[in-house]
Amino acid sequence: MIALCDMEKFYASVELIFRPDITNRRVAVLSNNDGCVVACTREAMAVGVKKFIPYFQQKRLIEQNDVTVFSSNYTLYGLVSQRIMAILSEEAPFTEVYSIDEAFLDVSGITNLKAFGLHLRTRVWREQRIPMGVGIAPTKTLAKLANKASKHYTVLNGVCLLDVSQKWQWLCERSPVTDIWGIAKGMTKRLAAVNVVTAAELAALSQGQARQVGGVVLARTVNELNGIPSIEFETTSPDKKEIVSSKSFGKKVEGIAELKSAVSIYATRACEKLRKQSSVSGLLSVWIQTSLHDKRQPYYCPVAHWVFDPPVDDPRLLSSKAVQLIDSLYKPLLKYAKAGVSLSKIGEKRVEQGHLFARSQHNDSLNNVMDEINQRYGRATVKPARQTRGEWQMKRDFLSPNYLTQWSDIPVVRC
Amino acid sequence: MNLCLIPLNVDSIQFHYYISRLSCGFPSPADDYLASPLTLSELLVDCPNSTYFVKASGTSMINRGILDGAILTVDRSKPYENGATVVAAIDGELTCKILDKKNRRLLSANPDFPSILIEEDMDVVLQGVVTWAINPQ
Repeated sequence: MIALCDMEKFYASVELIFRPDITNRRVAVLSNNDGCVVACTREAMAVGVKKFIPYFQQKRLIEQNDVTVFSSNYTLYGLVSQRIMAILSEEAPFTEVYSIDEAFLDVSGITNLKAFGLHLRTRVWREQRIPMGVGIAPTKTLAKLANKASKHYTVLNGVCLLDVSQKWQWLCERSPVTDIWGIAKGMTKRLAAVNVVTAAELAALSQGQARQVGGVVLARTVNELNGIPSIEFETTSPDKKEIVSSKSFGKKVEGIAELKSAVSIYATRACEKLRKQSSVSGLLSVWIQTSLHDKRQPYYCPVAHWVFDPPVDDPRLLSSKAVQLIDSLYKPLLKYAKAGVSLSKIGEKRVEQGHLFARSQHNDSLNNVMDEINQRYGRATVKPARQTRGEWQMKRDFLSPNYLTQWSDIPVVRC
Repeated sequence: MNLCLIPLNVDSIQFHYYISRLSCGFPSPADDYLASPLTLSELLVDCPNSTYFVKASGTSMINRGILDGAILTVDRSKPYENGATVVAAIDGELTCKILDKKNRRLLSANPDFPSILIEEDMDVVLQGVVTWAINPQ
């Protein structure tokens, strides 16, 4: 089974995280150069703000209705997205980050999927303040459709589970083909020409018919709508900034030996992914945790880190270090529910050989100093002279503070 | 790597040149006990993905060790226990208080500041638990 997690009104929701003072929750986010409205909250939509319409055309409406406007702050959105994705990958063995605000999760093996979906949603809301819809189904295409339904039918509490064919058939009968993942405008017309308007009608096409109308791609969609997985789960692209391998144990674990063997496997698995994208990692993190829901023992979730300098991609080194770190985390007499390994500080693997004649071309110390200054005093405080400020630069008149990446921008709390 | 040096007037002599140095002394007894150095984030930030930093402004929490200008670490994944130092949005304003669940109040840690009774019509949203305060000296 596959879950699609989708952040609702992501950019606008992120802008609200540190702004509880916007009590009417009317927020609109503008595209690059403050051109169009690209995201807005339900509350802003309710007063008539529309997506993909130029800002200047809506300016009066926006001002009259006390809508707060923001320029796109991709630094902030990117980081919040990373945090959410990290949480999701703690929860499921495999995740595919599909876009900045969407991820597919492989949830096979999880028994109570509705409860699991609700747990994900609650956790992301609590820890990140971002509303998230969850659609769970046997295929990616159905998971996408389920996700849409999770937002449309309020009775579902944001989690739509299509676990039996009657449920997805019911939904397909009520969905136009335009709601289906991968069906664009042109295809909608071609389908209409053969009297296919609803998703159910599309699902009823034979493979031959589908291929005739829309080639292999449409045939695949038809399969997916019938619950037959035909679009692969991609766990390795694009290159990941952090690779997490973790899993809940099938049965609670008490002994240190089992924990060690678990993290050794996870470390090797994470290292495989690392090497597949030809990267190296500079930080290994290992954690173990007891169940949050077990009332008979205290919740215990320690993390240990190990810095590799220079960064490494050696599976033996990583797994033996992961095993060693367990020694510092393990407390006896507890029942552990989960363990995990994460590789971060990920970089490209460079071919650097020998120090005999050639000196390294990388001016590391200079780069480090520049990074440090720019981090402390704001981006582009020091920069190559070539990067002069000019008209061509993005216009961002309503940029929000970088709450998570700049000390001067952190929120102020009244005491 | 093999280096071939050809001295004048002498038959060529071949010898090996190794790039890596051989250590001839006793291996460092600390090699097996290396550990990564202490960092503050490791101490202060338990769950990096749910933690954020804020700056304290005001003196209502001084008896909890929060001075004006302190940096606070706020973790959204921690449970809101009775007596916890929390950040709450009170009518839209981010405020640091002590959570008194039993009496539905938000307390200050300074006798000069009153506690706040949470009434039905008030807009109070908890924003995370304060885990550490870093005070300037």
